[in-house]
Amino acid sequence: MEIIVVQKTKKYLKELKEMNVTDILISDNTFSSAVNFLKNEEIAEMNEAVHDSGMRTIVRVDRLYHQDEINDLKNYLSFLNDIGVDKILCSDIAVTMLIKENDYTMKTIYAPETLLTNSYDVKQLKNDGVDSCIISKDIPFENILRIAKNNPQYCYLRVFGQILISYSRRRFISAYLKKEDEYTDNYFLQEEKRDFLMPIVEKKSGCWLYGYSLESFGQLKEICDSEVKGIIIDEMFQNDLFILEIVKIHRDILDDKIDYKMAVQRLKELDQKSNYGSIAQVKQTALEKE
Amino acid sequence: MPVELLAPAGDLARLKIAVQYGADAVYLGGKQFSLRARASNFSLQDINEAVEYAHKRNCKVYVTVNMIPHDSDFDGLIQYLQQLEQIGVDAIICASKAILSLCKEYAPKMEVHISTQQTTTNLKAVQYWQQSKADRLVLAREVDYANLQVITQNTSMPIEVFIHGGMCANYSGRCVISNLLTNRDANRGGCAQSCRWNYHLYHNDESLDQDDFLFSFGSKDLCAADYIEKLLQTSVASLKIEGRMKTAYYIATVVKAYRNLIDFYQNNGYISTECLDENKKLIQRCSNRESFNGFYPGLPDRNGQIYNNIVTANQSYVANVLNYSNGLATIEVRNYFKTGDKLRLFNPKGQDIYFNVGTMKDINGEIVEIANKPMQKLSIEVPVEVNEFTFITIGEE
Repeated sequence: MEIIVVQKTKKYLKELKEMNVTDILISDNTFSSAVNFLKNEEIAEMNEAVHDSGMRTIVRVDRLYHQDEINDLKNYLSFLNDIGVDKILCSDIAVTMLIKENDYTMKTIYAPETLLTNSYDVKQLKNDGVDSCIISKDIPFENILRIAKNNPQYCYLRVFGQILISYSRRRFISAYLKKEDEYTDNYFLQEEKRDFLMPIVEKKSGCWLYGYSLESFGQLKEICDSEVKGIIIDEMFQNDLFILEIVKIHRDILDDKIDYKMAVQRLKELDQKSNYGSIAQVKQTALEKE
Repeated sequence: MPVELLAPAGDLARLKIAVQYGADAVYLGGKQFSLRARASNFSLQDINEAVEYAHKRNCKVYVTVNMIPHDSDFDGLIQYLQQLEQIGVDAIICASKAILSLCKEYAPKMEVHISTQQTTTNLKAVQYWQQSKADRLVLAREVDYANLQVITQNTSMPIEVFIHGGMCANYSGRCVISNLLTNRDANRGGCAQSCRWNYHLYHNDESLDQDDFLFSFGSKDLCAADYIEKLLQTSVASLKIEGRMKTAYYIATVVKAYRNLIDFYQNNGYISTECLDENKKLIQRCSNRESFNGFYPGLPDRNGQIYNNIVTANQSYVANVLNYSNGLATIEVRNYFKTGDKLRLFNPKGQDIYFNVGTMKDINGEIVEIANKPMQKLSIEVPVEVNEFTFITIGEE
């Protein structure tokens, strides 16, 4: 079982390796949705440090790209391949095409967020030569396990972190505030009649809205005993130390050192502000008003 | 190849209107597998009738199978695709590679068009779908005109673009706000349009709410009349109107306006200012939300947004025609009008005809001065022959 963890600095790589983390997820600003991003030279340094620690590097290249951005995207992918990045996490099928067509050594994890909701589409991707994928988090847990079972050792699953609920090319905050800027740091929306906050990020390339923070403590062992290829701990709004503590909780669950209640207690001690929801809480959605 | 004008059909009546008013092709949803899950969707028998009606008039029929499917949604799908093929449906519109493959294997006579739900924004992604044997691709609405030109110049894949109707605020298919806030699945036919709701905006604990209105994602509707000439200069295969939930009058008006624009271009090699203005006015008759040119000019700013979700009721359509005989039309009342009012007859072909309402009688032969009972049947004198496809509207310019 691969364990992918998001990080921005080299500080805790040794500790993460000791907890059997296999891959470190990093991002730049232009080509990703992330707010915890690095410059290209920092990506190269981080990649080297990750490799020195005995782990692999995954770079998030997870936007949709318009035609006039494709040349820049090609150059960026070429750079990532040249520095020896191991995998690309992408959301645009064009990225998988470019990597294949250029014979890059990098593998792809295709993560179109909302679109992979059934076993058959996942199988199609596999047949198309896409290396792996992330199953949508918007479907019931039993569906996720079934998709993984039907496509053994092919699918990753996000088990912790903010859940993306919409992605737009528009710059909603700039439009509303009548001031063009990047709004990446601690902006939230609250629906008029609801009481929880949803983080929103706006960059030059668009807007991303996140619904709640996912945790899968109660299902972690079941996930790890399933045919899932790997799990992803991806919380870009928190710092590396927080993520390290979260990885420890996951490790302790897997090593039978703590149970679900203790895991939740430790999470509460770390973060009382975020709105957490379990991976098991996603219900089968309705087609009509309920 | 002449460009196709593709219109929505929410039911059989609206399909006939779309065909009569000039659509080259119509798209509709079946009872299952469609992104607009409504009871009024077409049964197989309805689809059969729709295909017969449309094909007789040289119009194609596409069926949406465009939900983002869950495993259970595949139950009965192969049989459904085969039934559609047997009926003679020209194409399905889908958003799933698995459905594309099933259709190619089990119902190969139908074309497969890849839905905008797949958010295709560049040539490489177009190439992926071409290699997957898709027959047409609906581009994401976010593709601007400059990028569209590059895409159409560099692919042999037939490309379809939206020209009119409601816009998703987010990339279509990449939004599940509705799922989270209402448990209604945005990608399986249940979208609650939560993007149009009001939201408080905060930075840390500080409220950024503006004095006049709250934050909203809500988009103005698309009206690309200004871009039709430019679109016709590309090799775009199909111009699509959104709105399977819209009224028959809306379909008639919008389809006729775009038909006029396309025909003018095809006859003259350009669209005159007069023709454009006239048809923009025509579109305006049935509009109830603000509109803009979408992403064609580039990334929209505040002018592409709607705050407070203002929808104005449009009451210009006052009656439809049930039958006609010897200068008398039997009509069904939809909105208020009275004896002496100036009304307009809006027909599939030709110019509008204006007349003043003379004597109106109800089914008992009683004279009626004011028509204010929706669905009431009245008999009125009309200056020309009308038929079931004629709409009667308020006559002001």
